[in-house]
Amino acid sequence: MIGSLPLLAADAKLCRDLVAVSVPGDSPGDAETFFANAEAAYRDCSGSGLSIEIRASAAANFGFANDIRGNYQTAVAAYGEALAVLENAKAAKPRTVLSVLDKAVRAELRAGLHSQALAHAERAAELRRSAFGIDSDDAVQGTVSLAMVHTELKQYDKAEAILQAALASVRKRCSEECRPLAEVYAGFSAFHAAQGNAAEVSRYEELLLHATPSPVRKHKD
Amino acid sequence: MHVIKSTGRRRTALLLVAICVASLISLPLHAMAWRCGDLGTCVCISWSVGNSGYIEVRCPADGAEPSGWTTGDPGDADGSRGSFGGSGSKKMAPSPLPGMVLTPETNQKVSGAKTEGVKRLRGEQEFDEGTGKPIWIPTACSDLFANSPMSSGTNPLPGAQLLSTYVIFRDGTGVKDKDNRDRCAEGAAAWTTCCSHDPVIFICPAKFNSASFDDRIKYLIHETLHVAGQMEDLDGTIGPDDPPNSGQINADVDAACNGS
Repeated sequence: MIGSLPLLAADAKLCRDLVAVSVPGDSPGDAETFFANAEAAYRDCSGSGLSIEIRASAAANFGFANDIRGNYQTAVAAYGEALAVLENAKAAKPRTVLSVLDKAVRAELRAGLHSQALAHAERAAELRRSAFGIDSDDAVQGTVSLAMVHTELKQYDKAEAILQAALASVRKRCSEECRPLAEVYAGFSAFHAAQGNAAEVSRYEELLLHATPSPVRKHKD
Repeated sequence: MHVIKSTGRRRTALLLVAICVASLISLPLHAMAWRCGDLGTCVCISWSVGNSGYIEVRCPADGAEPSGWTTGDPGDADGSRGSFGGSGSKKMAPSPLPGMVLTPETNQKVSGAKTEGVKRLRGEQEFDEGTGKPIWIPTACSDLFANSPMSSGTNPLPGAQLLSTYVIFRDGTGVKDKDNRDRCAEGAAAWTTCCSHDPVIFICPAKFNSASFDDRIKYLIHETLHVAGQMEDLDGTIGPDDPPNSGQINADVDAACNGS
C-alpha cells in the first residue's frame, strides 16, 4: 500500500499533464500533441484513484480529439463518459460541465442525435441560469445557443420565442452598445439566415453592428 | 422662316442621335480584357467546380470595368469563350461554393466575432467637434492591413471592409485544400486558400466554436489577412525573406487588436 502511493502520485501528475490542455493550440505541432495526449490519457487516466477532474478531462479531451477529426459517434460516447463522471461528483465546477455539454451538443447534432442534443442544450442553458444568474451574460449565451439548436432542427417557432424572450430580458439592462444584446442580434441573424430571409438578416446585421461595442479613443491627459 | 429653322435643328438632332446609337451598337457589349491584380483594379478569384473552373472578377463599383466571370483568361475576356462581361453590377459568386453552409450556431458565433472584429479594424471612435458625428482614428489593428495589395490604389479595401463585405464564410468540415489536406481535421480553427484574394474563409466549427470570443476575432482577422495577401511560413525555416508563421501572425493580431 505504502509502496503504491508514489506510483499513484506519479500517475496523477502524468495524467494531469496529459489533460492540461483542453483545446489544441494554434502553433505547428500543437494539434498532434493534443491528439496524442488525448489518446494516452483516455487509455491510462480513467482509474478510480484519480481525481474526478482528471478522469472527466481525459474522456472529454478524447471526445474533442475525435470531434475535430470527424469521428462524431466516438466523440459523443466519450463526452457521455465525461458527463457521467461529472454527474457523480456533487462538486463539479459548472464551467467544466458546460465545456463538455457545449461540445457534446455540437457532436450530437453532427451525429444526427437530435433529441439528445436538444436535451443537453436545455441542460446547459439551465445550468448557466442557475450557476451565474438568470440575467447574467452567461445565461444569455446559453439561451441563444439553445435557440440555435432549435433553429438547426428547423423548430423555428420555438427558436424565435426563445430569442424574443432573451431580447426582452437583455433590453431591460442594455440600450445601445452591449455585448449580450449583440449576442441576441447575432442569434436572430443566424435564425433568419437558416430560413433564407435575406432582408431580415440584413436588418439584424445592422442592429448587431450598432449593439457591438466600439473601441473608444483613449485620450492622454 | 421660324418653321424652316426648327426643322433644320430637329434634323440635326435626329442625325446626332443616329450617330450616337450607331456608335453604341458598334461598341462591344461585354467588357474587354479585365486587368487583374494591379493595384486598384479588378480582383480575380479562381473557383474550382468539379473538374473545371472559372474565374470571378470583382471590379471596383465606380471603376471603368464591370464585375463578372469568365471560363477563360480574364485578359482575353471578350464574350466569345463562355465568358460574361457583366452589366456593371456585382454578380453573386456562382454556386456551388466550396464547403457547406454554416450551421446556425457557427453562423451566430461568426457574426458576433466578425462584427466586433470589423469595429476593431475600423479604429477608435471619436466625435468630430464641429459636426458631432463619429469618426474613426486608425489604430495598430487597422494598420495590420496598411500594406496589403488590396488596401491601396484608387479603390482600396481596408481590413474592416474586407472582413465586413468581401470575405465569404463556409463550413470547412471535410474540405480538402489544394494539397489534399483536411485542415479542420488537423486542428485548425479556420483557414483559407492563401494568398490570391480568394474570398472564402473556411470555419472549423469544433475548434472555432469552442474558442474564446477574442480568439474567434483573432482567427477571423488572421484569415482575412491571408485573403488580403499576407503570406505565411509553412516550412519552419527562418530567414530575412521568410513570412511570419501562424503563431507570429496570431501574436501580431492579438497584440494589435485584442490588447494582449
